[in-house]
Amino acid sequence: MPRYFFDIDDGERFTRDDHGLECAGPEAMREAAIGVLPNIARDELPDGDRHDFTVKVRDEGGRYLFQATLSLVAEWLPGEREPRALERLE
Amino acid sequence: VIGDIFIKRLELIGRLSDEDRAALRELNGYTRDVQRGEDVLKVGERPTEAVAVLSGLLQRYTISPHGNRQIHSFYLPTDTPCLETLHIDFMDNSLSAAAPSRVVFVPHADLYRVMDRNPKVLALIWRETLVQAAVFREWLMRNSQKLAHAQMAHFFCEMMTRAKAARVAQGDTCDLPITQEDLGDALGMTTVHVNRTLMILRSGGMVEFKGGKLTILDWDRLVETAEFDPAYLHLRA
Repeated sequence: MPRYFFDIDDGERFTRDDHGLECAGPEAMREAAIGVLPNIARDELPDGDRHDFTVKVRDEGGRYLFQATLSLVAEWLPGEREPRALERLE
Repeated sequence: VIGDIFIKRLELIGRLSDEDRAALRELNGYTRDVQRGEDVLKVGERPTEAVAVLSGLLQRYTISPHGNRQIHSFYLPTDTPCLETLHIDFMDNSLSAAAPSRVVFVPHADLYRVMDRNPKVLALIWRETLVQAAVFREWLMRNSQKLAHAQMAHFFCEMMTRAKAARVAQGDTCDLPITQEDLGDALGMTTVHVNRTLMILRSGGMVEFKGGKLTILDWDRLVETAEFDPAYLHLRA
């Protein structure tokens, strides 16, 4: 099975994978890459309103083959009413 | 002597009299070498013997309906996993070798006889199974309530504390012959997540885990990160 290396950047910290993971193929590698992003997000939140979590996958030859980014965008709202609530008022 | 290993384990969590020790030394049994991945006790099996670890590392696990493995605990030399089989009819989980190991088997009948005649041994064996339940509770809390780096730090704190108590650590290093995949199955983390979390602990100068060995670089920071309190191990002071 091919071995892939998953480098992860959470915007503050970059970790270069020197261990790697054997995956059955590109699809399994893609699943492993995407699957780790929510876990990283859980570890690194809850600071800030914007946060990008990126994983970049290398093969054994050092070629980058895949990348995925999970973005958090958080914002406070001015307090406008939900449309259904407006209907009830009228 | 086969019984010595039970004496060692029970004396980590309580006191035995000379008579108790003499009775345990009379225990008969045999040893068997098991390879990594080999089951010692299989789910569904009806054990008639108690098990203790002479060398290596055992693990208790179940396989989910989707084929994922959850490791519930690891057992170091001198540990006596699955003493509950003395009172439970069949295995509801499996015990296997996480690394090449030498395992001691003692017939339940022998232990029943010692327990009948030596109330203190009976009480300590009961206590041992209760301590294991306390460890399971801590693992549940750790896996569900802590963030990844704290979770892993907690696991390392536990293994080092137990290795030191069992006198199988060499200074701040102990054998932990498991893979990153095994570590993930114990912590409920994917292998990629395990790898990154390990790198964070290592780059923080807290711990090194490589080639089946665990080395503590900064115990105080590791304990602080883990919020580790060894009380649940109920080791005798």
